[in-house]
Amino acid sequence: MSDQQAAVASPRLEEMLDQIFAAADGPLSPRQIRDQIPQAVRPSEAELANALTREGIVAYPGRKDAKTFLNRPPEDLTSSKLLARLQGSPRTRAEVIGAVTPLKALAALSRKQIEGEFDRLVQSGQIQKLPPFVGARTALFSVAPPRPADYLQHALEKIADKLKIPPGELLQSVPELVERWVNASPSHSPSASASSHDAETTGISEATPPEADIASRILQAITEINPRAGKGDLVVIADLRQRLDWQLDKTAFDRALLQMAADRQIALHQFDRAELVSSEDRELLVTDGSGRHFNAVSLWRDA
Amino acid sequence: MSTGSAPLPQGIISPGTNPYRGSVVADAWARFADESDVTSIHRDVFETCLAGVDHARTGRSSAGITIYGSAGSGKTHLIGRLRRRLTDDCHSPTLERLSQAFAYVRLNANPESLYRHVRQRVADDLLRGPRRGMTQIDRMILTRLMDADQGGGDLSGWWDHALEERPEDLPELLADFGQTERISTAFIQVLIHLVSRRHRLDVAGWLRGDALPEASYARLGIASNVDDDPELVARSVLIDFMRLAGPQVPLVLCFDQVEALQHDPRDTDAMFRYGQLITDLHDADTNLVLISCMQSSLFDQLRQAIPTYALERMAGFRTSSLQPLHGDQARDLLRQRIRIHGADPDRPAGSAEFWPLDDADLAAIVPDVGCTPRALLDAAATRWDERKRPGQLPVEKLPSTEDWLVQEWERRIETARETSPPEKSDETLRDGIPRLVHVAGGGWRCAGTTDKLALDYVLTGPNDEARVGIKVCEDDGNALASQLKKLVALFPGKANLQKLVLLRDERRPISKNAVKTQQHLKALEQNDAVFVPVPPEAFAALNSLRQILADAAAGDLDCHGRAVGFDTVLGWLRENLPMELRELADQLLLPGTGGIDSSPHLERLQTHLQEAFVVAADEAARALDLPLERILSLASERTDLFGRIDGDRTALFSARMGSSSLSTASN
Repeated sequence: MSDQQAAVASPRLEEMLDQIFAAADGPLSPRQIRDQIPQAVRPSEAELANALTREGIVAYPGRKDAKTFLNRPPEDLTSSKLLARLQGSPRTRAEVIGAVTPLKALAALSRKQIEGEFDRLVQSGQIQKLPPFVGARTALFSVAPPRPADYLQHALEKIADKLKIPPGELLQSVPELVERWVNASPSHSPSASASSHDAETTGISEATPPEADIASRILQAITEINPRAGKGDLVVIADLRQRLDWQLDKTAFDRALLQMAADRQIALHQFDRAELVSSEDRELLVTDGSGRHFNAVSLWRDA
Repeated sequence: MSTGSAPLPQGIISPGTNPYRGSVVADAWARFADESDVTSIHRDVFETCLAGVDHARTGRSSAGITIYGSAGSGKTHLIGRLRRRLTDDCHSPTLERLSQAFAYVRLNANPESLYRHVRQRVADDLLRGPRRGMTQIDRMILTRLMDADQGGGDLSGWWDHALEERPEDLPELLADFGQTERISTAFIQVLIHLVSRRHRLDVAGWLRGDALPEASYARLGIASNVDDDPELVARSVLIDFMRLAGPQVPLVLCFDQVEALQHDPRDTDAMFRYGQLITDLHDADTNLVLISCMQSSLFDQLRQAIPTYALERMAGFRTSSLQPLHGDQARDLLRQRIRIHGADPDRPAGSAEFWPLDDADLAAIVPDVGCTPRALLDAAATRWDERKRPGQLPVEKLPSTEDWLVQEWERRIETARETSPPEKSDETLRDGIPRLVHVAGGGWRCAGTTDKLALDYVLTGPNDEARVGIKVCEDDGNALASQLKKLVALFPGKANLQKLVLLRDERRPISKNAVKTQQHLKALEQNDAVFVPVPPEAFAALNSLRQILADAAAGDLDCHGRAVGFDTVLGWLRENLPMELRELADQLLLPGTGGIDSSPHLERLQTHLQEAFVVAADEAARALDLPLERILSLASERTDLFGRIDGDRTALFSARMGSSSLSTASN
C-alpha cells in the first residue's frame, strides 16, 4: 500500500479499531485485532502498530512481554472486569478482588487501587451489597438485587450436606412445606420473622435455658459452623453468637464460654489485637474481666 | 526477643537466678528451646505435622497445614521441635539417605519480595548441617545421585568411593540427573561446584540469591540473570530445590509470624500475597509440606482477605490450633525449667517441688480458662521474684512501657550492629524502606512496581501530591548496569516521578572499573536523581525497626508479661525515630537532595582502599589526585570506614570489607 493509500485508509482503520475495542472485554493483541479486520482492508503489521499509537489507545502487558491494546484506561477496564465477575451468582469481596487482581491486563494497578475501584462501584450503586448467606457472616456483592433462589440454593445445599442426602431429594419436601405454611396460623407463616425460624432450628427459646443446656447448644452450634472444630480448627466467636441468633445476652454468653473453657469443653483463643478494633467489634469478643479478649474457639482435644 | 531479660542461652544459666525468665523463642533453630521443650504440650499438633510429612512422602500431593495460636502459645517452639525431629532423627546422618529436608521461614519480609525471601531462607537452612559437616543439601544431592547411580550402602561410603574411583564421572552424572528431573542448567552447574567443594562462598551466595560480582559468576561458569524479574528467578530456584529433593523426600517449609508480613495490622494485601505464594508453591510440586503458623487473632481477617482456593491449599491437609495450658501441662513446663536450671542452692531441704512457689501461687498464676506458656512463665517469674527477693522487683517499680521500649531499642541496635552484614543489605532495604515510610511518612504510601528491575517502589505523597521512585542498587556488575540503563531510559521522561532515589550500602562502593554502571549513574545524577550511600548505622537502625515492628505485629513483644501492641510501638517510633532513620526518610521524602552528603571523594577513597587493602596516605592522595589533607581528614571523620596507622608515613586501610572482597579473598 502506498503512503497515499495509507493516509486515506487511516480514518477507516480508526473506525474499525473503535468497533473492535467496543466489542472486546479485554485488551487484544495485534494479531487478534488483525484477525477481526476483513482481509480486503487488513492493514500491514506496521500500519496497525502505527494506528495503535494514537491517543486514547492504552498498551497493556500481555503474554511473554508482548503488548496488548484497548481504548480504555486500566481503571475503566477494572470496572468492567469487576462487574463481569459479578454477572452470575453473588460473591464475596475477597473472591471478586482475588479473581481480578492476578489478571495480567491489570498488572499496572495495585491491589489497593482495585479495591478502591470496587468500593467506588459499591458507593455508586453499580455493585450492590447483599446480606450474607444463611449461617454465614461475610457480605455478598452482585450487580443485581438479591435473588431468593441463590439464598435458597445455598441453604438447601447446606441442609443436604448436613442430612447427607442429594439436594434433589430435598425438593420432594417442598409441596409438604407449602401445605404446612398455607394451613399454619399467621405466627408460623413464612412472613413471620426469620429469627423465630432460626431459633427453632438452633433450639434456643425465648426463655434462658439452664447452663447445661446452653453448653450443649453452644457445642452443637460450633460443630455445625465448622465440623472440623473438634480437630482444632477455629470458629469465630462472632459467628457463634450469630448462629445462636443473639438469644443470649453478652454477659450470659461470655460467662457460658468462660465456664466451658474452664471445664475443658472448649479452648478459647486470645485476641491480641483488641486495641486495633472498634468498640462495636470488641463487643463481639468474649472478655474475661481481667482485660483479656477472645475471638475464636475450638473444641477441646485431650492430649 | 526477650521478656525484660534476654532469653537464657545454654550454658550460662546460673543457679539462684530466676528459672522462669526468658520465654520468647525468636528462632526455630534456637538451642535453648530444645532444652526447655515439654513434648506433651501441643503433641497432637506436632503429630499432625508429622502426618503431613508422611502424606507428602507418598508423592500424591503437597500438604498444607495451618496452625493458629495466641501470642506466646508456643508456635515457634513447636516448629523448633519439628526442626529437631526432621533434621536430626537418625544416629549417623552422614551415613543415611535424607528422609526429608527442613527450612524455617520467618516472614519478617516485604510482600513484594516474598519469593526472594523464601529462597534465601530455604538456601540458608539447606546449607546447615545438623552435625559432622554434612549439610541437608549435601545429603539431598548424594541421596539422589546414589539412586541415579543405583548405588547401595551408606551415603558417605558411596560418596568416598565415587570420589576416589571415578571423580570425572560425577559432573556427567549430575548433568544427566538434572536433565531427567528438568532442573535448570545453572542450578546443576552450581551443584557440581558444591559437591566438588569449590567456590563455596560463591555457591552459597548464588543459592541464597545474594548480589554477586561478575567475578563470582565467572568462577561458577554461569551467566547472571540480568534481565529477568528477580521474583521469577527466585521462584524458579525454589522449584529446582523441590525437584532436587525428589518425590520421596518432602521439603518441609515452616512459615512463622505470617502476620509480620503486614506493614500495618489492617493491611490485607500482605495476606493476599501470602495466599498467592502458598497456592503457587503448593501446585508447583507434590513433595512440599507448607506449614503456616499465625496468630489466632488473624483468623477472621485471613478468611476475608484470602480467596477460597488459597485457603484450601494453606489448610488442605489440616487446620489446627494450640490449646491453652491447664494444671498438669503447666506444672510440666515449670518442672522442666527447674530441671534445666539446676538445683537452687538456697532451697531448704524437704521444701515443696516448686519452691519458693507454693500450691496457692500455682493456682493463682493459671487462670481457670488456661493460659499460654508465655503467660505462665511470665507470671511464674514475677511470683518467683516476689517470693525469693521480696521488695526487689515490686510491680509498681517495673519500667513503664516507654522506658522499656527505650531499653529494648538500645538492645536491638547493639545486636543489629553485629548482625547487619553487607550481604543482607538488599533484604534490609527492600523490607525496611516501606516500613520506614509507614513510620515516618505522614501520609506517604509505598507501593511496589511491575518492573522490579527498573524500580523497586514508588512512594506517593498525601493527596497524590508527589511521586518518588526508589531503586535499591544492591546488585553488581552487568545486572546493576542493565537496571540503571533501564532507569536512564525511563527517568525523567516516562517515569512520571518528581524524584528518583538510588540506594546502596555505603560499605559496597561501586567499583570505578564498572564503567557502564558509572556512566548510567552519572547520567541519572545529571537528571537530578539522588544517589544515597546508606551508612551502616542506618542499616542497624533499619533492621531494628523491621524486627521490633514484626515482633509487635506477631504479639511477640513482651514487656514483663505485658504484650506491647503494634500501635504502641508505631507511636513510640514516630516520636523517637533515631537520627539515622530520620535522615534517610528525609532523603526519600523531602524535595531535592538534602540530608546526607554522598561525597564523591569518600567513595573514591573507599574504592581505592578496597583494591589496595593497605596504602600510604600520601600514595592514596597521589593516586586519587587529592590533597593529602583531604585524605587524612576523610580518614579521621569516618573511623567507621577507614583505619589509620600513624608513623613516619600514615597508612590507611579499609575498616570494612564488603562481600565481594571476602569472596575474592576466599575463592
